[in-house]
Amino acid sequence: MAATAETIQQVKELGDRYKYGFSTDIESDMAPKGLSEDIVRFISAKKEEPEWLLEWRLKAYRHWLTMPEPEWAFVDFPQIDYQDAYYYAAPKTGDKPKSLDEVDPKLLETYAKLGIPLREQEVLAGVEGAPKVAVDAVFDSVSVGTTYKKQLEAKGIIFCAISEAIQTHPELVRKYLGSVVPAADNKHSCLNSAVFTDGSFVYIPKGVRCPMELSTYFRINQENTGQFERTLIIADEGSYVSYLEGCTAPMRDENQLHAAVVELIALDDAEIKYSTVQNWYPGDENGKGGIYNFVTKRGACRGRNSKISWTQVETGSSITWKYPSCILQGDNSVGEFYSVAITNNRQQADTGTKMIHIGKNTRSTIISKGISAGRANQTYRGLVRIQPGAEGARNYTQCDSLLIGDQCGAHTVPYIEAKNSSARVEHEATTSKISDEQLFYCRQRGLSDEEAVALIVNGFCREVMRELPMEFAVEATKLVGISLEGSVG
Amino acid sequence: MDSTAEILLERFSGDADTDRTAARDRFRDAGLPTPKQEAWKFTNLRPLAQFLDARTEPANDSRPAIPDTLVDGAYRVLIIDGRIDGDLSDAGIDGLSLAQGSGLQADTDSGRALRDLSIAMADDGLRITLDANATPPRALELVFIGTGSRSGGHHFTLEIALGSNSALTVVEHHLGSNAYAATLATDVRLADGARLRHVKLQDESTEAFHLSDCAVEIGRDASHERFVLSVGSRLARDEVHVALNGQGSSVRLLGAYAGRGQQHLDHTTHIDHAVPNTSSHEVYKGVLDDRSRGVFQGGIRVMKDAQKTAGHQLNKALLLSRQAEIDSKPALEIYADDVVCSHGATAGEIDEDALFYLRARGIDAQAAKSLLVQAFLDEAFDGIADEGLRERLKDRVHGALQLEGAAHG
Repeated sequence: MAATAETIQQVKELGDRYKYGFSTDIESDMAPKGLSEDIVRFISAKKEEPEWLLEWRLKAYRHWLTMPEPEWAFVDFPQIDYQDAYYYAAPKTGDKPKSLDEVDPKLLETYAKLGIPLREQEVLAGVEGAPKVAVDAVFDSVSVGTTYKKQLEAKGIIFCAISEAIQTHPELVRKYLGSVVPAADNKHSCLNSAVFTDGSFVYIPKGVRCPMELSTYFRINQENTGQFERTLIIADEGSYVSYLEGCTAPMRDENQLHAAVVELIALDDAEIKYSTVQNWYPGDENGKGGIYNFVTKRGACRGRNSKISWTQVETGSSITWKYPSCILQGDNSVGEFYSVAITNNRQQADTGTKMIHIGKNTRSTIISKGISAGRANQTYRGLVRIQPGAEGARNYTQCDSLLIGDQCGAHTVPYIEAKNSSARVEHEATTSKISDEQLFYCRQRGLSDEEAVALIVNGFCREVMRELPMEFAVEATKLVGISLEGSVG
Repeated sequence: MDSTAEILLERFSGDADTDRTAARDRFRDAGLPTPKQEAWKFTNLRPLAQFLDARTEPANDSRPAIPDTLVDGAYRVLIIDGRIDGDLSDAGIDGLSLAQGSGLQADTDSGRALRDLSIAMADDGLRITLDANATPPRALELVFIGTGSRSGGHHFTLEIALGSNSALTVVEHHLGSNAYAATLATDVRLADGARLRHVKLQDESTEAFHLSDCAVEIGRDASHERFVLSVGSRLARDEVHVALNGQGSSVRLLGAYAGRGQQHLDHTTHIDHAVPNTSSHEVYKGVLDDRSRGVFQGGIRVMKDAQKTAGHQLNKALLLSRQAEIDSKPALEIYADDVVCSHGATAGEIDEDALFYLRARGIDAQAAKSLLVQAFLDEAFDGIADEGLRERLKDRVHGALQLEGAAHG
């Protein structure tokens, strides 16, 4: 079929199309190469952290040394040399910038290239009815600027770099840090706990509905650096927040490690919506270079009627290892996971979710759409566990895979553990390719091959895409377009 | 080296046989599987070890009662405590031949240590061969009886080889009394165009362990239909590995299980689609009461060149008690693009609305519940062609679950 062949061709070309593959020449302040207790102390000292946090980091580091590499995922890569990387890199800006005007213009330029209108936001602010997005930008290891802080502060919302929160709100950080993802949870989260450098901190006070989307853009710039960000979001009783996360990195031949930890806590009646568009550099068509994206994301629905919703569009990274999960502890709490994952060339992705039902009448929905092309391999790996006390729990899972080309693979590994008879668990999965009938149907109605493929792929992902906030949906649709069609949209 | 493995292998006597020696060596290295191994995540064999230990005292010593045949007029072979009882004189007609002895190859697949154990320690074995084009009108029924009168467990190997375009029905009936551990390794090879219907009733003593590992190779245009009903055992695992090696081949795996008390019933299947144009269809239905636990692990793997594959897999479990548990892992591993594969899994209790509907029509709660459970299980039984056999098996599962109306089918 010509259309399929064309799509395969376009997919192949994607390697040349990574438009975020530039690097910015900015002087950096870096820690010596390698990993040791001294590096952990160095990072902690650089951040002027309190003693308890240093101890916490060191404990994690010591435990990390004893942990084996996780080997159960369907991903294949050479052993990581943890000593061959820098664990701290910060753009050299002297004192912390007081406002965006003091930020290195080269940095701002970088963000402009990324399409993140840090400055434009200020202009937009005056425009009535324009959607507002508060942005925290993390460059290599350090947060370089947060917008809209004043307006958020007026509502009592804390949105800042986590290193700042450690100084200004130590009691909140200390209470919640590591309470959802314990340091020793897994090898990668343990490393993160030892060497995390920055990330965002969000606290929404009781009864407050965050008036704008909060957003963080992560960027790995320096060569040979790993990025270890740590995000902590707390939604107090009855509050609501929607948080967006985007990531990019320059094209480099070597593999760079990104081991982030994200913890979400939703108290009674609170809701957190967390959306990710992950577009780290995926490596070239031969699988050279690219980011190892080993991320631990977990949300705890601690309170009654709380809700956590994960939406992710995963198109980048050479290897993705990521399972955003929900612990549904509070009665009537709700967990959602919507995912589109696209792998191409030699990308590998092992991604999915865990829904742990503990409270009564907890509900979870999992919708996962995987598209595998080129020589890529992709796995949905998920766990739905109904604990004995989860009376009336309900889960619905649907994971569909679409294969483009005969060299790729798509796998599904769901685990379903039901320990309560009043729970209802449903799981469905399908794997298929774009059928000739579907193409024929579209073409018969006057669509070109290309448009037809675009339409079908779009339709395939639609259930997930519509969950994205508007600002992100546009970007995500574009990304899917670049990945699979060239002219979707 | 695992010391448990060493004890289990104490009775080993197959030194002359290279396959048995190879199997022994691998089992000795691997030991009994533990829940740390992915394939045994949900089934813990720790309580099994003492029953496989040859040094324990046998519990009982008496001649067991022989049940009626499940299929009218079937050829029958009795296997008591892992040994063939009597001669195999029934054989040699209709192109069917039966021979005593084991010819199973040691498997190199990891995580199948019990298969190695069965091969290494086999007390006896049966080889069933059917000539090309032969279609015996009578089914072959194998009755495995455990009495608990032999220590160290009993191990048996079974080989079924069908010539091209032949067709056979094999029925396995496992039953027994007292406590014992039975392991069974089976090899099935279907030549081009052959058809095998394989029906297994696992109705072991509820103190017994039943561990069965079956490897099936299916040739061009050949088809295999397998049905398993598990009602017995304290802990049972029915593991099937199917390789669809010939174009146009197909497999249907059907299963039903009914757990009560503290039973643990594990069904593990793996289907490899190795060549283009093959199909698989899998339906397992389970009902779990009291504190019983069901495990379903399904795997479909579509190899790189196996285009035009159809693979469907379904596991549904009905939990009748608050303490019952079901663990499902229906996995797909797909390396070809022109495929239609799906799987589904559900778990839940009896539909309140359906119950209400029946009760509103004057049917009492218990009868309504029975009706719904029977209806739920029926789908899995549909694949059994022989009506008499189907009804007997249905009666058995209804009896096991103490459903009303079981006495009259």
